[in-house]
Amino acid sequence: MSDDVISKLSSFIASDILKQPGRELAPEAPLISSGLIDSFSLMDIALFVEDTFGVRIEDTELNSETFDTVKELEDLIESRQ
Amino acid sequence: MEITSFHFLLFVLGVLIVYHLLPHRAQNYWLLIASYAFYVFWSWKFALLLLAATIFHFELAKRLRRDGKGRPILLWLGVGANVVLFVIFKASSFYLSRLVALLGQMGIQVGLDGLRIVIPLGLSYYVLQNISYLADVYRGQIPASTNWIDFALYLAYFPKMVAGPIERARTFLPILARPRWVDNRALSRSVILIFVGLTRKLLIADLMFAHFPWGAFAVEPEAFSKIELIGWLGIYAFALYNDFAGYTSIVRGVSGLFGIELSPNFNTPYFAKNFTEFWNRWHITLSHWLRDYIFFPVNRALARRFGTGNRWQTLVIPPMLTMLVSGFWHGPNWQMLLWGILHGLYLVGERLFMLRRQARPEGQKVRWPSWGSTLIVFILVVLAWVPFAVRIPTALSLWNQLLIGNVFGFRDQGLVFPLMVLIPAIWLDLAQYNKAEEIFFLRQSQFAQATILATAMILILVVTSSDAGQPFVYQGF
Repeated sequence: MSDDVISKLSSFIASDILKQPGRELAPEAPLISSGLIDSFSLMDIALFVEDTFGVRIEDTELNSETFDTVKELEDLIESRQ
Repeated sequence: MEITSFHFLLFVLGVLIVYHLLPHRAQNYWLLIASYAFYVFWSWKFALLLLAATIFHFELAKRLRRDGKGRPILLWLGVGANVVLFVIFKASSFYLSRLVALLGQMGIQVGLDGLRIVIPLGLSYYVLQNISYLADVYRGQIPASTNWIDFALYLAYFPKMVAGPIERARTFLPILARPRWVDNRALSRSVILIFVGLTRKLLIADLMFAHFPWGAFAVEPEAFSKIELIGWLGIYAFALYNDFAGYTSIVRGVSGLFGIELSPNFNTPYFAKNFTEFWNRWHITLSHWLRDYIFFPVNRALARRFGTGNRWQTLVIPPMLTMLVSGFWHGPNWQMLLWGILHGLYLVGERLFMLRRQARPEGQKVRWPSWGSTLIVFILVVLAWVPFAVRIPTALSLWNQLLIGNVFGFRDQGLVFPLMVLIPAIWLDLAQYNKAEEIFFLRQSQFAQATILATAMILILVVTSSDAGQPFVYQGF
C-alpha cells in the first residue's frame, strides 16, 4: 500500500509539477525546503491527494513543517485514511 | 514605553523577578496583569477595547462548531467584526476627510481634528491573531480554548503586543499551558538576542535613519544623482530591515527570559534568490499568515472551480489578492496598495518565468550564478520600497530619476557615514546567512562572545547617551 502511494505521489510530482515524467524522486529527498516545489504547486499536490486518496490537507498544513518529502506526505496520507 | 527605553528594562526586570518566584499557573496570571499594565501605559481606553475583543473571541470560538461541524455564519461574523474594527481605525485617515466633506455637503460642519482617530496599539497584529484563531477552531484544527487566562494572555502578551510576531494559537496556547524553565542555554540565548536586536536597532537602523535626507528625498528627488539615489535607497532598505528585525530580536529575547519562545520573523531576507523565498524570509509570521489564510484558500477555491494546472485564474488572482491584502494591512492608502501591487506582479512574473522552464534535472549544474538571482531580487525589492517610503508622485519622480538621472554626480550630503554603517550591517547578515544560524557567534569561543557583546554594549551606551532614538517603523502599522 505505501509503495503504491509513494509511487503515485512521485509520478504526479515528477510529471505534473516538475514536468519531468522520467525523473525519479527519492522518497526522502526534500521537496519544499529545497525549493523544488513552491507554494503554487503545493495546492496542486493537495488537491491531487484529496482526489486520489480522499485525504484533505488543510491550508495551514501546506508547508515543510508538516511534510517535506514524499515519504512524509505518504505517512500523512496513511495516518488519515 | 519604547522597548529600547530604560523604563521598559525596569518593567521587564520587575515582571521577571516576580514571575520566577511564582508557580506555573500563577505565572500566566502575573504575565496577563503585566501585559495589561503595559497596555494601559499606552492607553486605558484601548486596553478596554482589547479586553472586549478578548471576551468576544473567547465566547464566539466556543460556539463555532456544533456536532463536529463548523458554523460558517459565526465564522464570518467573527472575521467581519475584525475587518470592521481594522477598517474603522486603520482606514480613518482614508475615509475621515471624505466623511467631513460629505457632512459639509449636508450642512454639517465638523472640524477634522474633532474626528481624528488614533490607532490602538498592536491592533493590526491582534486582529490577525483573532482571525487565525477563529479559522483554526472552525476547521477543527484546534479546540476552542476553555482557559480564559491563557487565551487573554495569547492576545495581550506584552513582548509581542507592539509589532508582533504574529503567533498562532495552536502553537502559543500549548506553550502557555505547560510548565516553563529557563536554563543557562536559554538564558544566554535570550540575552544575546536582545543585544543583537539592540545592535540592529540602535547601531544600524537609527544611525542610518538619523542621516536619511527625508525632506529632500520626499520633496525633490530630482536633486539627487543616480548614484546618490541608489546609495540612499540601499541605506533605506537596510535601515528598515534592521529596524524591524532588531525589534523582533529584542522581543524574542525578552520573551525567552520567561521561557516563552516567539517565532522568528526574519531570516536574512536580502539573500533570497526568488520572491517566494523572500517572503519566507521577510516578516515571516505575516507572510505565513497571508499564505495560510488568503493565498491558499483563494487558490484552492479557484483551482476547484477552474481546474488545476497553469490557468490564469490560479496564476494571477491568488498572489495579486494576497499582496493587495498585505499592502492594505500595512496602510489603507495608495502608497501601500502600489507596494502590494508591485510585489504581486513580481510573484506572478516569477511564476510565469518558472513555468517556461522545467525544474533543473538532478546533477545538472546551475547555469546562472545564484548571486545573480539574489541581486535581481534585491534590486526589485528596493525599487518597491520607494512607495513604502514616499508618496506616489515622489515615487514616480524618483524612479524616473533612477532611469535618466546624472550617473556621475556625487556630493557628500551625509551619504558616506550611513554607507560605512552599511558594511557591518551586511557583514552581520552575511555571517548569519553563511552559517544558517541566527546567533552564529554562539559557536565562537567564550572570549570572542564576551568581546563582541562588550563592544556592542559600549557602542550602544555611547549612541543612546546622545540620542533618544527613533520609534520603530513597524510599530506604526
